[in-house]
Amino acid sequence: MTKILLEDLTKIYEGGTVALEDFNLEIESGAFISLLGPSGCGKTTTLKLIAGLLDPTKGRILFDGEDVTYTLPQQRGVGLVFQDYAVFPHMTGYENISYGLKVRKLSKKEIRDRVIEVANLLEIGDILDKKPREMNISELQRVSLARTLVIKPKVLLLDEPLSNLDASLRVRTRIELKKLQRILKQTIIYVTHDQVEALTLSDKVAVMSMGKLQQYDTPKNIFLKPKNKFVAGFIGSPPMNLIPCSVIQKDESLMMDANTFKIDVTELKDVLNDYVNKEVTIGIRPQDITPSLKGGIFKAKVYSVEHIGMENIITAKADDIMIKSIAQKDFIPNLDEELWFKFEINKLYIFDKEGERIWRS
Amino acid sequence: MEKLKLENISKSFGKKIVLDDINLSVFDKEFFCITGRLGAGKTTLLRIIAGLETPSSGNVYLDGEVINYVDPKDRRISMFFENLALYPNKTGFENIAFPLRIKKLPEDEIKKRVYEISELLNIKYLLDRLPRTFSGGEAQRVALARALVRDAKIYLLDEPLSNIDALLRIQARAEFRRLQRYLGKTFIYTTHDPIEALAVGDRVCVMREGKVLQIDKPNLLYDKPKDRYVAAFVGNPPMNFITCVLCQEDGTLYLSHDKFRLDVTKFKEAISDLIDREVDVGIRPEYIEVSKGRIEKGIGTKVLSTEYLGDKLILYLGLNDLIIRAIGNPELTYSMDEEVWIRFSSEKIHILDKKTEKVLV
Repeated sequence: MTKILLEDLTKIYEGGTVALEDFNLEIESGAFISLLGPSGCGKTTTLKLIAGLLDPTKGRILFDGEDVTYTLPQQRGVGLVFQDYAVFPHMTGYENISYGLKVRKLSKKEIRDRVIEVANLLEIGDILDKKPREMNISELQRVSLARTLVIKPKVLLLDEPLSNLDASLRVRTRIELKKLQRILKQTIIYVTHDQVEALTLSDKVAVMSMGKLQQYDTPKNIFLKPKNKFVAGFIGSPPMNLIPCSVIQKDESLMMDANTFKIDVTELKDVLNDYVNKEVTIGIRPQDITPSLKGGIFKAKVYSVEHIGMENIITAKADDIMIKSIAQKDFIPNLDEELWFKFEINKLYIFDKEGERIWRS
Repeated sequence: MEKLKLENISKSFGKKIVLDDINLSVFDKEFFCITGRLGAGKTTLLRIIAGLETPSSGNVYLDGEVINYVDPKDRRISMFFENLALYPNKTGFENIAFPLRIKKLPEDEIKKRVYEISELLNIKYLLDRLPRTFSGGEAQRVALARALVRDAKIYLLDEPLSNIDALLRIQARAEFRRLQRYLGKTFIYTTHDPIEALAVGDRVCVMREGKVLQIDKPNLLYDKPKDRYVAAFVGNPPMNFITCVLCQEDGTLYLSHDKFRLDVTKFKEAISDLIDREVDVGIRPEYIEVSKGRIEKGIGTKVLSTEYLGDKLILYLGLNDLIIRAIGNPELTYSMDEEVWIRFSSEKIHILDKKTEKVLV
């Protein structure tokens, strides 16, 4: 149980690449948080700074109020699990898991007790005699995790631990990880580019882009109240549609003009008064757009249809804008067919020119 | 029209049987997708089609002719590998042009074709750059262009999206489908992600341990799986299976479980052999009605865990020792151990023979 505070953390690599810029984050003791973002957003750099594998260019790292910015990695009480399991190939499961304890010169009995305890927790008690080459991926992954957990780190850092698993195993492991955290109550920081993992596992998600924190919030707020255009366009499956528009005033009414369509937004007058004749972006989730054969707000040509089981994803193109919508599984339009699309004004999100959200219902 | 046919294809490496009597046909201009877990034999199958492996037995037909002994380079089959390797010292343009240079095409023809495919894949801006300046997604598109620029009869794509971020993968799916339609070529595509397979394929082939289990259109594969493995593998979250006893009473057939009873008389013909035996009832999570209050014929369950996905909420519900997956309302909060009632209609269920694992209804 450790509370972590990152203060103005900045990392500039040799050559001038800014990997992380003025990053501030407060991680509650015992919380499970995710660092989420595309490749190159700075999430792995952040993890390495917390682990002590890198020194920051600027800023501080505090564990329970104590400055550990320049403390040696092994003295921080941090456990790190990477995506490539990095288990010793010539050692059995037991030897792999106990290695860290042997190095710490614990008694034989204590080593044995702790290995058994963690092996039971991860349900790998029966493969302790196996060598890594005799294990399947799931077992390898558990051994790797067990090896870290057995030293009882105060903070557990996981760098895309599920990325090597196939889809169904990933789902299962996700559930187990969540269960594990409830038992261990460690502070866990989880790095991933996969929003499904971040949303389903974490108490809070830190969405990152280009070395900067975009939003740090609960999964629900990240989805329902994205702070800016980046978060909106990154979260959701498929993510939110973003359409550039300008706000036009015509007599008493206010219109949103997106070239391919105009919508009356007079009811949002209070919000949009300051934005007349300015560029904004409207956001609408694919789940909130309904395609139909006749009648709607705008027309677009079907670009692609994906059957994904319980529903269909329809991608349509109107001029230069691609729009994704979710349809019932029995709605199967032809390619290049022209369809109508509609949505309700109260499902709209509006972002200003800088990308900050200015409205949602 | 049949483009490619595999007849009794088997392949062993030493004692290990990797492919076991594969029979399938791929039609001209079809987007044929092969899915299965790691080690199912997907890549070996592609390598046999490409001529990089020789089958232990069986025949490969291309346009009606056996090509078992035709050299890979004379098959006019283009292959894109998961581990893409661009020439680091060649520009984007030269990487894409490479297969055409080997064929000694005239310079203006090469230019024309490279520009055409680059336009289509949106990578014209990469043509003058070297691979080390590409992002993962960019490198992947250039490698794809190199595979597609060749004039081939069939394009084999081995896990083309596995190296890129989750979000890009969802976007690329629609692009792939569009691209194949636009090019009007025959694609054979592998993925370990069954949802990706449903999304892109005209038909999807599910493989397991070297065997083909089912080949069908995406909607049929999802709605009418032939056996338990396919039913469980295709769909996310996966189908639930509940063991019941099939009972007969005064001419009616019903499924008996200590928590519920479901009339299935209408399926009599298909299941009459299984009376008084245990059967598995398969029901997809989205067909389970969930209620916070008691409902008529509702089955009482306990909330074990929830996963928030933004537009959906996955509920893990305890029914005796079983975990039932259902879709909850993301706007509601479900607390741990809360009691909720579930209900499902016999219209939406599958009945499986427990012994043969075949789906009967």
